[in-house]
Amino acid sequence: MEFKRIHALVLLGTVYLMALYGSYNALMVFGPIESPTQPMRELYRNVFFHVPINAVTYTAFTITLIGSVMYLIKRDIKWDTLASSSAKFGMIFGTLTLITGMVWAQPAWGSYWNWDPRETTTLILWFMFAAYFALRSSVEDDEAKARLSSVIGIFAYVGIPLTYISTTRWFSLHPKVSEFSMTPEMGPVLGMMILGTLALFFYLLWLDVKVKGLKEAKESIGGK
Amino acid sequence: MNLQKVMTIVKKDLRVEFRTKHTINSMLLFAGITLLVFSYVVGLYVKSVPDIGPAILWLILIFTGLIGLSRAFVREKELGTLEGLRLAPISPEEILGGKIIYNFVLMLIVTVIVFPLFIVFMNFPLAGSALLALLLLALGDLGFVIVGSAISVVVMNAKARELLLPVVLFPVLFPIILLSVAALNKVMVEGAGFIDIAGEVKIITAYAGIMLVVSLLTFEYALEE
Repeated sequence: MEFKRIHALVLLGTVYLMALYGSYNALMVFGPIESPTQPMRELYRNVFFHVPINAVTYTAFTITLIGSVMYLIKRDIKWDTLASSSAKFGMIFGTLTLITGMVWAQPAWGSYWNWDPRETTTLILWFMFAAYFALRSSVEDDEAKARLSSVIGIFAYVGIPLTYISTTRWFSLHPKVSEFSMTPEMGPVLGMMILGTLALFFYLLWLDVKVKGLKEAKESIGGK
Repeated sequence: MNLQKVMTIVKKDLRVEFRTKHTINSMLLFAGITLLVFSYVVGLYVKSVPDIGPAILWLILIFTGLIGLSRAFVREKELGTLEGLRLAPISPEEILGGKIIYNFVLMLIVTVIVFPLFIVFMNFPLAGSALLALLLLALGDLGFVIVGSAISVVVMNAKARELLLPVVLFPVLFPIILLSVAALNKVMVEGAGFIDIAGEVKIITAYAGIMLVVSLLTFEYALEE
């Protein structure tokens, strides 16, 4: 299936409308909520940004896994381009996940970093894919780069659930973090934000894959 | 997978290693010197050694293991015997199996020697059973060498492979490091029996099993040229 410019425009429009609708509701419409912890009464609004970004992070790394596995099966460099592009945006969104989470954790839980299982897992995920890029930059041959980073992509993905399980076990003694309950009208808004942010990610991914394809085409005809 | 061929690889590697003993000697010396440094520094500045003892022991073993891992395949590459290995009528899975067992043997030797030295030099009041602690260390070693052997092949073809190995390996190893230290702490400090650490042991075993499957599935791709 060829991905045309019109699809990209539709995606971008979706991003814009959904983000506008979600942000407007999250910041202007909803009032403070009932929460045992005082700061959360207003700060819960971060959920409409933090959760979608986090969803994109994990989607991105799933696409990296798919790209890696498909590369090893098909040996088509396009799959590797998809995997590495997706990992790149996964790292960007992963960094944003960590930052929005830390900014939120300070007033809500008392400190920026708490070694909460979710925090820890996201941090380890971030390091795994940082290593993925460290490996890519130190292998020169394109084929070997694609092949070896695919293997690491698979290892990293398998390591994530194991990391989560091990951290929940390790931190089982910690007090449970008090969560808040969402009102019925917040659900659809959060859903909109998640879909909008995913659309943004797919749009960026499409652009990046396209640019890489053009660069390769240019190199193959001898341009610089 | 033919077990006899796997053992051929193990025997070959052990024979090559014990001809010169370069790797094992380096590992033991490294473990010894880090142990002494830790023992000295910790003894000077830390009030309660038992609280951090198991973590230090496990970190010494992991860093020592890195030396062994980075040698196992790099030696083949440097001596040019990797081509021979590829040509031999031995499947990639059998080569990986052999390397895992070989690295495991090296790690076991180091563990068995370092553990008593650790107790002595850190003046560690061992609360639980020493045998259980050793078995736990051996289980952790197993998880470590499975992932480590597979990943050391991946980084073998990269520039600056010795630098890259820990960077790539540690995030994947995170669950093993976390749970081994947790379980070791329970045994060595709180004197827990096997029942108390069964949960950790289960997850470490599951981790080793899952990673073994992933390693076997991907090793063929990592080894090809």
